[in-house]
Amino acid sequence: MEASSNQPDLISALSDSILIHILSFLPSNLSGQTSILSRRWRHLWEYVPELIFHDFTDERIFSFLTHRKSSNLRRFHVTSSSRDLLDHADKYTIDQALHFCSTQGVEELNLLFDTNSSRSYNMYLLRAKTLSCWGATLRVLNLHCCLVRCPIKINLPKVEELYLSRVSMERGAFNHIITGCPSVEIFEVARCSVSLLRFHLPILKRLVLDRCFLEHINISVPNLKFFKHKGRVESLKTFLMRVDNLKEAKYCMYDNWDRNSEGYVRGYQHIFQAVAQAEHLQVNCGGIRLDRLLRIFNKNLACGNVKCLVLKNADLKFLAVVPAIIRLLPGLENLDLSLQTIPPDTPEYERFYYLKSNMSELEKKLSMHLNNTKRSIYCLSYSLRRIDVRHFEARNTQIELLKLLVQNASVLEVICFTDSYGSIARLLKSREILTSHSASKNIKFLDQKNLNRHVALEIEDDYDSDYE
Amino acid sequence: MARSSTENMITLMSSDGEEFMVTEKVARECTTIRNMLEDDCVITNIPLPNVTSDILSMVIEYCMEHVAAAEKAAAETAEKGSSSAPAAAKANKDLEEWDKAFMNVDVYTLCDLILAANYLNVSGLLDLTIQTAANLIKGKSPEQIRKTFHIQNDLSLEEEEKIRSQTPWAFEKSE
Repeated sequence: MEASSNQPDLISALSDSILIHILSFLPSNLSGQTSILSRRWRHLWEYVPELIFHDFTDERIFSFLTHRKSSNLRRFHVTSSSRDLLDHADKYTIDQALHFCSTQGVEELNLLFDTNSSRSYNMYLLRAKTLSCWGATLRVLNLHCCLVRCPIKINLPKVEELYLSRVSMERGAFNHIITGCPSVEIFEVARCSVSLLRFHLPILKRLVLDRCFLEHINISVPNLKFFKHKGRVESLKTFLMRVDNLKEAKYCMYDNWDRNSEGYVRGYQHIFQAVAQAEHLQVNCGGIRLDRLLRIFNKNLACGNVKCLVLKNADLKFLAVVPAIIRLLPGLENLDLSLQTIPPDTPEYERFYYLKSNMSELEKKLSMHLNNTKRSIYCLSYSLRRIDVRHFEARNTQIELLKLLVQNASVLEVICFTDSYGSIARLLKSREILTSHSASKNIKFLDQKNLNRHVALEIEDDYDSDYE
Repeated sequence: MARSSTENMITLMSSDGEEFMVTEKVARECTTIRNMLEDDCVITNIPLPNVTSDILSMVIEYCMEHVAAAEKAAAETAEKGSSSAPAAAKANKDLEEWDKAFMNVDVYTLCDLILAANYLNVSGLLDLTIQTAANLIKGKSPEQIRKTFHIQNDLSLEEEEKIRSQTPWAFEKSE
């Protein structure tokens, strides 16, 4: 073939496997379009081992499937981002396409339908029959906005990753699917309703429960490394989670300010007991009332393994429970406070400080609470070595809390301030207060990205270390 | 295996005879070279007849950046005892930005990089370059794709019409 153009066609010189690899990143109808580029590209698209259909759910899929030459299909991916509902013909097409491909060794199945309606009769119905014919090869199953009917046990022995979001499960389907996936390592559930969750998954490594309705949970996950919970818990009745190897846990508290106080307190206590088995724990209680928070942590819960505690969005009320939380964590080495103070005269301020009390009154309450709990904080005397503070503003409450901590933390080595703001004079003043109250001799102050000023203060040696 | 000195240097030689000294750690990012090293520990000079010096220097740049990022993350984890999620997320984002800037090349360099990444088996770079090539195809009409990659259309009009009629759905949007 003579090169009539002076610019060589390098891409067509690449090998078939590379070009097919490139095409596999494209939605399938776009890869089909490359068939008229040139003779070189004529049939390449027919060998792409992935089918990706975006808003492409009608009978055109069949035309595509019948053109495919390769009998090997790695991934089947259907999304509909349009707000329109799938009609019957679409649902039928998807069903047929899924059956058509079931013998082709599909490893990854994604059915992501983004519909507004949560009515189950509008959703795509995935049947146990359809699911089980993929069972031999499927590794990843990802469902969004589907209805799943699975009245019988199914077998998905190779599934390693399971993502379910806004999936409506018919009676029994949830547990049938989970028990059918004994090899699952990653399991993420979002916005699903699960009244009874009971399973034993020996090799599960990552579990995420995001804004789900939960009632009874009884799970045994000996190899779980990461656990995340987010959402309301007023309906949670039992929460049993057996973990031995939990490394990292995150949980985020919400309430809707309603009357069912008991439900929230009990629910979050259950979860705290489970997540406190992790070495690295992150707690966010930006959305829960102070009185509930205090009650949650006032109970003597079982002690945990937490070495590093990260508190996100630690606003004023949150600071009040810091002593109560760390009291429950005897081996704590690193406390990471991500402070948040909300400027007055904003709607958020009104909402958060629903007590309508002024700042000083709240601070009085806080210091009372601090004084009540400080006697029994074990980790302060023996293990707490580092405190990280983000967004420090040198507010009285913040200083008050840090003062309490340094007064009692006899093995503290480092206090690190990151992204502080507020006036330098106040920051320096607070530093002075902390230095003069410190129980540990050799605290090092670190500053990161603070107003482009590096302020490092060493504690004087003549300071009496036995402050207590 | 004797791997006491972490700064073991390896010389890579491009097709046009230029030599590049890299640490063994960087060279190991290329699976092809790693396999060679594992087969024969004492090897220090590796000729790469399929890669030109321009492209090889880019591949090495990519490997060095990614090794440095991985080392930095490991050091931070070791220092703090546990990794802090925000810092890790930021480091990831920085690396992504770097990748994006690195992919700001013409289509010829891109094709050469794909070939080199495929030959040297640098999986990260292969994914990155192939994704970039796919992005260049996305959202373009066939004529625009031909122009971008200088593809010679050797199909006759009749043939093209025939293909279009066989799979009409593929050409709905671009027409």
